[in-house]
Amino acid sequence: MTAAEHLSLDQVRAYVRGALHPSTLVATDDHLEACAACRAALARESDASFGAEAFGRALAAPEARPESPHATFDHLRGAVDGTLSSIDRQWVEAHVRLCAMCADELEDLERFVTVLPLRKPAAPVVEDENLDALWPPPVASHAVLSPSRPRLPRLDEGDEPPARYGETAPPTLPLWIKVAAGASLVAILQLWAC
Amino acid sequence: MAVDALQQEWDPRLKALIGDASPRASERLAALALRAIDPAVRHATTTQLAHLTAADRADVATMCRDRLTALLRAVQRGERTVPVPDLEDFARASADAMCRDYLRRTRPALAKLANRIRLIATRGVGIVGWTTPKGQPVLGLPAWTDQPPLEAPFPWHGRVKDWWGKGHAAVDGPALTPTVVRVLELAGAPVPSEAVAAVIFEVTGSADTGTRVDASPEGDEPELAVLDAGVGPDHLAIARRYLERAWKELLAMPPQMRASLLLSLRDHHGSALLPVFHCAGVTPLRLVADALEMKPDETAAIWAHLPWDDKAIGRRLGLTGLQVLNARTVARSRLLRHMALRDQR
Repeated sequence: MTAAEHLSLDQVRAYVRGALHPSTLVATDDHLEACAACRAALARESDASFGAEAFGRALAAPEARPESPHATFDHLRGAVDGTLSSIDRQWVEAHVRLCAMCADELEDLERFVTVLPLRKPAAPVVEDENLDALWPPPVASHAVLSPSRPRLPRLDEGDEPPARYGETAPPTLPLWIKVAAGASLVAILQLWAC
Repeated sequence: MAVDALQQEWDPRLKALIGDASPRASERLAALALRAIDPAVRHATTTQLAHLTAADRADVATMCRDRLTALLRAVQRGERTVPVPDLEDFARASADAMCRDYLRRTRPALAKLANRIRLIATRGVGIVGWTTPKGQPVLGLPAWTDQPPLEAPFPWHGRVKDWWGKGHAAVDGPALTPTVVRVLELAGAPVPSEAVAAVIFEVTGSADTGTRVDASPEGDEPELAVLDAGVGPDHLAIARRYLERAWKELLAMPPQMRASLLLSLRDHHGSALLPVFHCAGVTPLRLVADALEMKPDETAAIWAHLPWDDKAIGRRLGLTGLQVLNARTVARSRLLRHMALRDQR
């Protein structure tokens, strides 16, 4: 199709109705891009004001969703641990900007996680509707980390694990006490030698 | 595009309702509400809201019924974009979720305690959490995962102080973990996580101080000045500028969010609205394809099959239907807000 061969009225109408065959749709669209006369014909046939109105109404219409519009525990936990997929992270971030309830619960968990023993979360948080079914299994696995959300500090593999809650950590002396004790011992030995 | 990606997975009774405006369809809709929705709502409100007054329970039940019946009407009008494969399952899960959200709103301190306890169970500190086949989140010791959980009335019912004894209990901080362990040891079996939170709440004498305002994100979107359909060059120019602004905002969105909205957009007749942009001369098909991260040929091939349901969009984007729904909700809110902000400027 060239600019010289204008679209017929039937072709323009078929384009507006979405009735063109896929093989001709792209070529027709390319022609419209290049041909002002056909674009004018298209503007006459497709009333942009009706399209804009329908678009605005569709945006403003609420979703028919009895499902909870709120973040689940797994979303909140994933946000705290930095294990959400990017789409869920975007959603949670946008949702907590709108929803005081979920923002409040997320803030509470972010605060609470700082007093918990630093252990790796048991399982990555999840991508699908059966979020609850994947609530952490007893066996630990490595988490999938979110690329951009700041992570909470975690233990490196080589670090000594913290004591479980209720266990007493083995007593260790600060370095300065050890150094002072060593120096005192040397001084006593010198005095004794004199 | 594979044909199966476009097939919808609907409960056959709901599929028969789609687009049927006859009086018989209305009768079928009422019968479905009675058979599938009412029992689910009754079950959810009696199990989850047992501690509320009958009047409060009735209010929540009415809200659940109204929302689920609205779903049936939306299905009938072809507006529901996430397929519902089994109405009973869906009604049960939705009624449960609505009751949970009600409790989160009306008992915020208890809801936060329940979250903290569930977080503890992910930390490998001797407590694990899992979900029963009935979908109930429970807590227990690692050796208990095969055991059925306790059911109401729980052993501490009516005698919490005696049951707990003299041990220290806490709702927050490091002392919460041993408190949860003690509850489980005293119970001797898995316990629903909500019940663990409730008993700790009671043992510590905690109280919820106030109800949250309804924080539904659906409720606080700005009003969009919807264009009136009109004629004349001025009106067409205004409409075109409006669509150009919307397109610019759409391009600024993350790709999955944008695709979730664009591929599902439909007018009140159920016709796709994506072609509005290229028919109004706002953007050529090739750029629409770019926005959808598709090749132009691929976009042309799906053109006649739009709008897609959320399952099909999810397959395309590697997301679940619910993730698509969430992404679209955010995209809608964001677009409405940005368009309203531009209007103010």
